[in-house]
Amino acid sequence: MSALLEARGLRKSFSWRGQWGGERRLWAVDGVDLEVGRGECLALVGESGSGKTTLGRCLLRLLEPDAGTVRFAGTDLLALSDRDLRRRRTELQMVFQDSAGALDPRLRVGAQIAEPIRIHRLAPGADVEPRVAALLETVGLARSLAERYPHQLSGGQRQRVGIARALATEPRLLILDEPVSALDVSVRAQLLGLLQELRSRLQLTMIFIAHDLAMVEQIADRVAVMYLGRLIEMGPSREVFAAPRHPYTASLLAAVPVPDPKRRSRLATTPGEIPSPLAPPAGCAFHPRCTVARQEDGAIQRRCREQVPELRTLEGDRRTACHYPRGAKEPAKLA
Amino acid sequence: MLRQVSFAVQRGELMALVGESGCGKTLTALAILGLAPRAANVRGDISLAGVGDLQALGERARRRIRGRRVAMIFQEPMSALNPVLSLGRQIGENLRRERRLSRREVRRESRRLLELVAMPDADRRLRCYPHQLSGGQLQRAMIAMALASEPELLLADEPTTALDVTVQAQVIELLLSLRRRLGLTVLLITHDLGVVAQSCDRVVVMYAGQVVEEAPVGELFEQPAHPYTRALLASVPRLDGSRSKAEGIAGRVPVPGDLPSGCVFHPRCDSVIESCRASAPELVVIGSGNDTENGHSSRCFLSKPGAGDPG
Repeated sequence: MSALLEARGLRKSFSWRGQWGGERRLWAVDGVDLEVGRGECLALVGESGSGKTTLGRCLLRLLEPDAGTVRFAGTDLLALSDRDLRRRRTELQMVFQDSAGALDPRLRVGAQIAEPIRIHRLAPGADVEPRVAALLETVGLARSLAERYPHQLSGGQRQRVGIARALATEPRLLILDEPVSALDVSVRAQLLGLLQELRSRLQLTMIFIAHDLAMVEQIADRVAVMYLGRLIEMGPSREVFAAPRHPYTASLLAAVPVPDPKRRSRLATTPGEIPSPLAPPAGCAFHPRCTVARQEDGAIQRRCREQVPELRTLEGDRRTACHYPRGAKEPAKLA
Repeated sequence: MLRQVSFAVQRGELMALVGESGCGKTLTALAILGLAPRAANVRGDISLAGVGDLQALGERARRRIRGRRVAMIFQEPMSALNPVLSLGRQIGENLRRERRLSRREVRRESRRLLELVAMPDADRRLRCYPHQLSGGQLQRAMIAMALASEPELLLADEPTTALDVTVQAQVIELLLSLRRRLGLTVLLITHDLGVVAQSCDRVVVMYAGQVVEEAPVGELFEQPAHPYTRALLASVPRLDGSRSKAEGIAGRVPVPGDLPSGCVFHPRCDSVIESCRASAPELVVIGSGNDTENGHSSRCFLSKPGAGDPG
């Protein structure tokens, strides 16, 4: 599978003037390499503050990264002029989490879906309306909904409108930022089914951003787990779910409550919460919460405290950024 | 909006109230507390051991119950806490008013409560304001506040929905340990059946303002009787690959002003029969257990009394 989108050394920081005048800076994305193959669905998973949304926006150049490259179908997106970028944007689209906030409350649904078609002049005026109708049907909505306003729709319907609008430009890559997180489980499953169907029918490549592994299991070919701006594990989803190599991935999996009262288990295997990206821990960012880094006497392994682990290949397509990956016979060799 | 909602929570039990958004879960909890919106006309019997019918009490006595015997925690701790008061003040408020403790005792008790909910660095946190805490810490603080009045019954309305998974796991374990240590009775409102399976004893399933099924947790997952419960269970993603695909439920929860005829679930039901459109089924006891602790009941024509799982 050749890569459709490839990012190398991507970094993005935000800075502001601190309380006492000095400049403060936080790295939301801190050196990310990833690639998405044609027709593949990559899930980008991380808890709040991990940088997954910022990364998604950098990949589309909705945010300007500080460093790194993003190549889309051979083109360096970061080198494009604004005009060329706008033209290429038809091929890369985004679906946002908060469909109520992403849609214009004063515009009828049909007009919102028509907007990208008009802006990019993708169809002559007379063809726009039938195209909007066809798009609504593609996402499983009745044509008549084109006349409604967003507030007249349910959350699931609004999210479908957001998908229809993203599909209006016939993109090759869709970045979905937590598209189902705000929905009820019953609606969530339906929407995931729709995305799966669209993916195979329209041969879409997808990056699916989520904060919960349970949400992506059904749809992702590969998963990439983020923690404080870095990828800490990446691999085929089946393998990662079956045998996570990074302790953080393992604790994310353990925290998903199994819907079976006969199999009760400890859910909380990791203490604490993700630290503020304003003050990331030194060394491996996960070490203060990590049970592997803690030795028998309670002290934390020096390597974990001091040295940032690189994302390295373990075997096949499995990569992890851990000095002491699970299931490994020996710790990672010192670089 | 709620129609004939009946259930009983046993002392020391962790009972779940589940259903999609708009099914009336939160309204039920608010009605128990007597906090339902003024426009809501709450009728029926809500009784608490040792007090009797709460509805018959005056506002003053009711407030007393809310303070001391029943407490509630909410989904969004950030909006439930007062942003301009320190945690110490907010926890202390209950202690001063309900337990009439002195200033010194309030301080000591507040710290003990924060330690009880495993708040890291409890002493310092008392001086913190809500915006200085993370989501998980805020939820712990809110639980500490609820526990200040030493309630017997805790109503927890989606307490983990807004949290990250690893933090959700911690809060659930906290609730379980508090129940064990304090003998707390908990009514947990949630839409997450994974959480229910991992933590609860009994489950009440609500749909469109009605109880459609009630059962012990094991039986509900093994032999769900109501088609709505089965559909909810089929929507839950499973990580162990035991099922290939989660299925959703077509359509949406009807709005109170526009309820379908007959059984309210019939337009979305996959096993609908003729009588479902015409008349509304009653909640009937099924299976063997008949007492309130082991009883299994379902509101469906296909659930035969004492017949167990229809299909």
